[in-house]
Amino acid sequence: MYASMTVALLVFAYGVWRRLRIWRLGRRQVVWDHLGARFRRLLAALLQATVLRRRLPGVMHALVFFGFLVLFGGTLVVFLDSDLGIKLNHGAFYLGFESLTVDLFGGLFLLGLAIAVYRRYLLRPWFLERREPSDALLLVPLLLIALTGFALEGMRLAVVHDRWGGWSPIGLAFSHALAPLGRSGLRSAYPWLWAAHVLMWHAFLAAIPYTKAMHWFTSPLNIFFSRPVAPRGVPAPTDFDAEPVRLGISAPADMTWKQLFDLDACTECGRCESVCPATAAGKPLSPKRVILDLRDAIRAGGADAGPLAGGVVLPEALWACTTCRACEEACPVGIEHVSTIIGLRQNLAMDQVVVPPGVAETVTALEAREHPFRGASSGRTDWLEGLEVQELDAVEDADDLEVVYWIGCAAAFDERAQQIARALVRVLQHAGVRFAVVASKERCNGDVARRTGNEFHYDMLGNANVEMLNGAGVTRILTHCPHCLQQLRHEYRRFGGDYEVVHHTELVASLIEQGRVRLAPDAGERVTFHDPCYLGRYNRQFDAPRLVLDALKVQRVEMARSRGESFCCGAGGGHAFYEDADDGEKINAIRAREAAATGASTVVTACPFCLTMLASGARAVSSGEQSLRTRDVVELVAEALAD
Amino acid sequence: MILVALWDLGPAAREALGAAGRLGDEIAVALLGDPASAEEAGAYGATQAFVFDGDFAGSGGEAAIAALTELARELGARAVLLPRDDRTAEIAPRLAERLGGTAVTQVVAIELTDGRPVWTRSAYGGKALVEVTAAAEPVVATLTRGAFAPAEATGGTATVSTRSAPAVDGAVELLEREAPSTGASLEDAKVIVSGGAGLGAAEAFRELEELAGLLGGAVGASLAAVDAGWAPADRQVGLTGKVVSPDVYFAIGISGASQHLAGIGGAKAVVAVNTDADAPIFASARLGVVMDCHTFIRSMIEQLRSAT
Amino acid sequence: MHAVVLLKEILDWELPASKFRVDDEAKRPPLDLGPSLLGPFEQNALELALQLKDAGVVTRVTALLAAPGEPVDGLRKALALRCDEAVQVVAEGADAADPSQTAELLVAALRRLESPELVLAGRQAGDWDHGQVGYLVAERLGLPAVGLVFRAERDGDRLRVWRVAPGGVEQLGVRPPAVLTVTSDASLQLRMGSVMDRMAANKKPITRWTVEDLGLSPERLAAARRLEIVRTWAPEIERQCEVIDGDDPAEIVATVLSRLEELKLLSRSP
Ligand SMILES: Cc1cc2nc3c(=O)[nH]c(=O)nc-3n(C[C@H](O)[C@H](O)[C@H](O)COP(=O)(O)OP(=O)(O)OC[C@H]3O[C@@H](n4cnc5c(N)ncnc54)[C@H](O)[C@@H]3O)c2cc1C
Ligand code: SF4
Ligand code: SF4
Repeated sequence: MYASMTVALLVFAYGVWRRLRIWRLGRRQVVWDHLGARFRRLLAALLQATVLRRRLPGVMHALVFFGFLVLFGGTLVVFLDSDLGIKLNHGAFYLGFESLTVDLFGGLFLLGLAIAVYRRYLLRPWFLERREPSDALLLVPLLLIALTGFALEGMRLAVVHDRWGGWSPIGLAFSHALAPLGRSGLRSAYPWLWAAHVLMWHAFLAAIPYTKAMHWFTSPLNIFFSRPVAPRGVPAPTDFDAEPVRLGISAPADMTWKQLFDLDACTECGRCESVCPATAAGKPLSPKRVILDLRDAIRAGGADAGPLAGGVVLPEALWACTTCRACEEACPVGIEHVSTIIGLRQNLAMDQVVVPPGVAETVTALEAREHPFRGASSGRTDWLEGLEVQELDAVEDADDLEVVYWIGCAAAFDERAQQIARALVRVLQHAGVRFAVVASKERCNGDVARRTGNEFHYDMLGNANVEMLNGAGVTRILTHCPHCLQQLRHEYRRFGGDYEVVHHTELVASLIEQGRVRLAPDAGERVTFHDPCYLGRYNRQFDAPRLVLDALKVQRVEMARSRGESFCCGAGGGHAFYEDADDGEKINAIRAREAAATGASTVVTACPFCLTMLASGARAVSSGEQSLRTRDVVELVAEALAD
Repeated sequence: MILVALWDLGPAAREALGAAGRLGDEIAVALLGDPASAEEAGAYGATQAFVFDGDFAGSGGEAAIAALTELARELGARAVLLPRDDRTAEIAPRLAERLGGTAVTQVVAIELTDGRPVWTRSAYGGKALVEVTAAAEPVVATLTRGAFAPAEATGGTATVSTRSAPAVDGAVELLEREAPSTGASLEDAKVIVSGGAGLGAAEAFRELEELAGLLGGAVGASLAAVDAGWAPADRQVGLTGKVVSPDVYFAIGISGASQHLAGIGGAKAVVAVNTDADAPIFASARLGVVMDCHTFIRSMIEQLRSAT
Repeated sequence: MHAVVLLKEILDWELPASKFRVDDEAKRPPLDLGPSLLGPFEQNALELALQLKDAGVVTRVTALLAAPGEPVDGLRKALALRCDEAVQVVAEGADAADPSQTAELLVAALRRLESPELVLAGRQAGDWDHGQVGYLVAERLGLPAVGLVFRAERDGDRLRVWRVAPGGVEQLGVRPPAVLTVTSDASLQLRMGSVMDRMAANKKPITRWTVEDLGLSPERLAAARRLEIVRTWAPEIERQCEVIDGDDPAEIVATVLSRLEELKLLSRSP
């Protein structure tokens, strides 16, 4: 037994070492910050909080997880007791834990496995891999080990007539079932079955690093390692001064070790895929396939696997991602798909130059005109016409200002978004906020460049913006655009931009609370709020817009998917500026239909890009009659101001 | 003597003869294409007509340049006027250079100041007008379609002489000629439905064709749409495409860049369809619709279909 | 074969008319009106040269540009797209608005460059819209020229070029050395280039030749001038647009149709 145990442990260790070798190919990535948050997430995960968000598979997982934990504990106790001579197994502990608890949890474990079999082979949800043998490889041995365990307990009870047999109810049931075999038969079969049970267990142990069971270890670790707080979904920065420069991800060594670790943490549960808007729209992208295809290629090819961008993961798949982070939010084991996807895109864009025409045009336009809107007819200050607003240039001391309002390219160049800016200015003036606009000095925040993998252009824009803002002594910034928010609040730190940044929904909510904004709303309109990805999932701001809506006394209804589970409008990741292959329904149409299903007459959002996308989605799904109105939160506020 | 170089006596040619009249000098016409119209040239104010026979297409622009150089020298022409199009674009500067003169392209007006011509030409895609004088004569000018009043028929006659095309060395040789794209001609169309970058895809152009069919018109395109490969190059309208003069010009998903507008000044009415209410096209439109182009096209097709 | 592409940076041609101004003194728009960009047809010419190099027809591509002042971004861009060399004629004392003076500078530079056999120019630069430089260069170098080309291939010892002509597309054979002026085409959208090439380009030199370097005397340059600008102005556009509003798209379209009928511009009865 010790021999087989040793062999098993050696095989196990070899398997772990092989994995380690791959992880060690990766680049450095810091993961020891925010320890408190990391441990809280780990604990929540161990308590099965994330997986339980889905009913059936969650219960299944919890049963198997806790069942296994207790059984393993039981085995450990036997090992300590009989092999190491640490006498634990007697009295109340023996009865309470080793008999009753282990027995019952063993039963739950079996139940969990049964659910898994039922779900995988009878229910067959579409996002679970078909024809995948690895699940059977996991389920069948576990079932056998559990059943033989119960059989052994049953045999023992049948042979020795344990007075305390009632403490092992399931074992007792097995003993009744086995009793007809007779005591001597059972007695002679017992050592064989026991050996089989132990060997199976050792074999299973040895197989762990080679199968999906590895996730028992990698998953909790991955949850711990994944970034617990904003900013999330951010690509690893590129060092253009390095020699040689790494332009995105082409080989495993271009990934960070966490990105490599992610691959081994995947449990193939398919939750990411089931929430992915690109998958839902019939595009050739599945976040799960990205992870698994990378994993399989790297397992097979090691350090030489590749080319990863465009080879292992196809360009069409990479360009379909909207960087919405729904996959990351859904993933129970903390896998960070987005930074990997953008890393791969970086290689396509900067190295291979395999980009959709729209991306090439947008980047060219960015370079030429410092904004991504083609055929734009207006200048950065046109929207200010007729408004009494001062520009930052004209301000003596930026410290006198409560905030500096960053307009963003959408409001500068898109006529619809200009209405948002004008509404916000009205609200600010009504509340007597001291502010100035940046307007003519702004450049594109660079988000489009960055999310399409054009880090080089992003760096230029980001640096220039930070230089301008720092030069003007700006510290507090207001923006109505979640993409500008993400850049100004988080991603500009890299260029030395450290600002306090508020989204307009946050500012307006607090102005209402302070009584600086007085409202005279017409009650009753039925509205639903669409959470922009870069405000919600990226910046965890779900409440401010809702607080504002509630202050407007509207009848607020929620869509089937909202807050952290909100479904992307389709614009993110640069998609506002390019089309990629789409065979199915458009993402914005899916979302507009979802909004219409709430019975709301208006879908409210808080992002100029969501607004455009939802408006065209609403037009596409409207069947002739009145289509859904689309508004920014602040437009409703401006309409309801009490004068 | 003013020499006007023509390939036929169509509207562009009559405009050129009208422009020549402004220079207050005797007019000669060189006909490099259709010899049948030589007699008629006299009716529009020319006193001499030179008909060339022979092959002008076989050598790129070479033969035409050589013929005109010879003739202009012989006549001692002060100016050579040509209608501006894809063919004369390559002829005018080379002709001017061979004559030791000055080429002035995209001319929209001619004024005589102290007997000296001042040429107004468009620049910056039509956003600017520039008055220039030439330092060296003769001036070889290309005239923008629609800028000059066509010459009226007067009943005069011209003396016609025939010449043969000069022989040129074979540096350039015509190998093949491809047929122009199918569909109604843009120059003659009463209705043009033109699509731009806003259409977003080649499929949308097929819908435009259907719409054009229902309206009995032709399909046009902006440079951006041609560049995207959605429409063939000979459908391009504008400064470097066709100059058109329909009754109605639908500009759908076209921002109205000045270079595009340069091709539609002759339209009686422009109908602009654009999602951006600030698009410059609205400044030049008679009717404006702020709407998604696909919605517009589909709805229009439906209504026209149900009407017939 | 060594190809030289004649480039030019122009004021952003998409600047709307409402934003366009002219400095009356200078008789041209002020320099800060908008960004300077490689003109669209110059981009097409550059792309055609690069495609000919990709196809092995051309072995070397030089980007040549005449402009006063600092090295021009457009030349950097050309290097970043793998042009072999970039040359700027520092055009002090020449007027960019005069095509003949520009051609004079370029001809002198072309004479100095190693035996260029193919010269590619845009059909017309979108600032002054002359559409002359390529042809003047051809004449002064005594080379044949083909205008409005959008595609070229090797065909034995000559080039087969496709060009736009009034009666459709013509395919012409032309024997180098020759000048081509290039027009736009879907296939000639300027490529994006990799970041690696771009960073390498930042380290490559841009050759700068002054007017004296080219052996051009100020008198000679002055004599090359052909056009005298009397006056430049931006014409007014008067807006007379009737915007048709409404909630229902179908209704708007119906109004458009009936308005056009009222204006006697459209008749729906076939
Ligand atoms: C020397 C020179 C010569 C040129 N010659 C010509 C020429 O002959 N002809 C020509 O056309 N151009 C010419 N150009 C190019 C010109 O400057 C413009 O780049 C071009 O006209 C732009 O085409 P566009 O309006 O289709 O595209 P854009 O300017 O990109 O405009 C697209 C428009 O579509 C709108 N839009 C977007 N989506 C929708 C939707 N769903 N529904 C409705 N509208 C929508 C947008 O608001 C925008 O206004 C020339 C340029 C130069 C420099
Ligand atoms: S970020 Fe969004 S679009 Fe991209 S893979 Fe994840 S779920 Fe899909
Ligand atoms: S990446 Fe996460 S959500 Fe997707 S299949 Fe793997 S474990 Fe499940």
